Amino acid sequence: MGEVEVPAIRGISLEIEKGEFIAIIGPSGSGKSTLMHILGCLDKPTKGIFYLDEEDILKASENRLAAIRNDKIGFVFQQFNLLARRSALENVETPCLYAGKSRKERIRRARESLDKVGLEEKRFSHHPNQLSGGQRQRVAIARALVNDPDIVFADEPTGALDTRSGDEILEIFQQLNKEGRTLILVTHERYVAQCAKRIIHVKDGQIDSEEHIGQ
Amino acid sequence: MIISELAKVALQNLVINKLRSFLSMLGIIIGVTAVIAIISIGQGATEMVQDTISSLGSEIVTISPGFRGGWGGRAAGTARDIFTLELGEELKRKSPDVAELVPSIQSGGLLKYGGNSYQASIIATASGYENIFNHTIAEGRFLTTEDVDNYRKVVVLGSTVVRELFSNENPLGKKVIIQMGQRRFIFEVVGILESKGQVMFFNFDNQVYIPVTTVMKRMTGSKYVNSYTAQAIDSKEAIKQVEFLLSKKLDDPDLYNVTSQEEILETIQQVSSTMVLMLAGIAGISLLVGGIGIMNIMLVSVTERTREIGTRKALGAKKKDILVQFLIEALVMSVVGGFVGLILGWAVSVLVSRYGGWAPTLSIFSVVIGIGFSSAIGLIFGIYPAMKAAKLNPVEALRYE
Repeated sequence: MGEVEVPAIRGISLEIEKGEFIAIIGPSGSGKSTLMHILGCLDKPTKGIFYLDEEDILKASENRLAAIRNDKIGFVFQQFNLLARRSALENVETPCLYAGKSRKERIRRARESLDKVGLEEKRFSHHPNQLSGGQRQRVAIARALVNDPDIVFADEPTGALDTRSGDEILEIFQQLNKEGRTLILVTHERYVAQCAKRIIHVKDGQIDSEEHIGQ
Repeated sequence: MIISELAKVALQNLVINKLRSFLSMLGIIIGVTAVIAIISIGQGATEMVQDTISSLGSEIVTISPGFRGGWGGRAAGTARDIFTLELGEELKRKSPDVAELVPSIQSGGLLKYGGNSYQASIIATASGYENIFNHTIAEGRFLTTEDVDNYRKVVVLGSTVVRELFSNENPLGKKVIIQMGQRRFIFEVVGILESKGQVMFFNFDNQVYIPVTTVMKRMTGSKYVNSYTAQAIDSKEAIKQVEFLLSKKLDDPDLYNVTSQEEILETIQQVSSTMVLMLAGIAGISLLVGGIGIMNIMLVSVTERTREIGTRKALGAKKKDILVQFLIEALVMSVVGGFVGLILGWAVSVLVSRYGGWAPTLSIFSVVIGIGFSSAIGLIFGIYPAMKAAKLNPVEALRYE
């Protein structure tokens, strides 16, 4: 038995500048998640070239990729992916833990980060199951921001939220972008993609088209 | 990555899954409990046996008939033919290292006084026996040379016999009936021994002592005694001298046995340490089973937490971080189990020592074994699940439902 290699994406050529706000949009199975995984250094392409900040990612070791994810990248997931048995504060602290920061520093940064996404202080000690969907996603964003990354990836961040909470989350993303952070949003909803400045349409593992919003 | 932080998290996880953690730890708990208890009980019992044997007296040499190869361990019949009182005298006279030597014939008989009766061990011996075995006279006197020379029908009683036959009466001077087989003999009580308690398989308190000559001349008519007990100055030398003398009387060295108390002590020590090792080994098997239990639950835990592992990796956890996290969870489980086992094992050994009548001992050795083995098992059986977790591909782990 052999495995047949089916490329999820191929022939993609993409350049993202620092400070951009990009939405990657496409139907499910289009390869948009794979693209995000590669851009987010979670996975390496089998072939091709990928440079992040002039670093050849294909040549980076697994540990180096982990360090890059820890230091330069923040992830926000559709299902929040919070650690169920940890408080909001402890969840936000986690990336600092892997960065080897002291306890005092971790708590200071986590509080700052939670403040920034607008979670009330009384909820810092709550566990994820005591929080609403919108609050959970705020915690997840705070966690993505705690190590002050250059790039934030969001994979269907509003997919599990009602419209109102979703809008609030998108507002936070826009605010983050205004502060100079690069944002990459993966979605299949046109409405969500619209808050980005540049939309990349992916279809059958290839870039179908690109559009620029506003300006 | 901070180890103490991970240990805290691991402990929290154990507390959250209380029942599951407990069941997983049970194997380790039982294993460590058994190992600690067995080692401690073994040590306590051996020490007690050593103490009591030493309390019997020291440098005691026993000369007994040899056992014929055959089967059933039957005493060799011909050997009895030379164990006479005269031979005893000769051995005592000719061995410079034998300070005292008494013959003895052991048998059983029913003692009666008034309406009471008691089945006692009857030791027929001579004066000097009480000194060899460190017996203390509570009242009256022990057998004397005159008793032996004149075949007197006098008896010295052990404390249990006194209690059973004479409720509140003073037994001194009273006549008791000793029934051996179909025959009855009347003996006068001349002395009572102080209690010595159970020493291994011998209970000195249910023994009575009568002159050896009285048995031979008046009761059985036998010319031979069962054995000699000697107080040696140097037991090793005494054994050599006695063996040399006996070898001149008998061609076959299998017909007699000359052993010292020290030799018996050594044998007991060897046997008991072998037993303890064997039992501890068996208990060790349950430690192994406990380890497999921990591995099993850790594998389940890794599968259940695949998404968590993916998330942690996305947040920047290195392989090593995930490995350490799961290893610590396995380690915490086994070490906590080890401590619980240590406490339980200690409790069991204290309880058993109370019944056994020795001082409970908790050696550093058994603590090291208990904690050392359980943490080693946590490491050994935790490493595979932890590696499995560390090796997970972050993308696949994140996708896992």
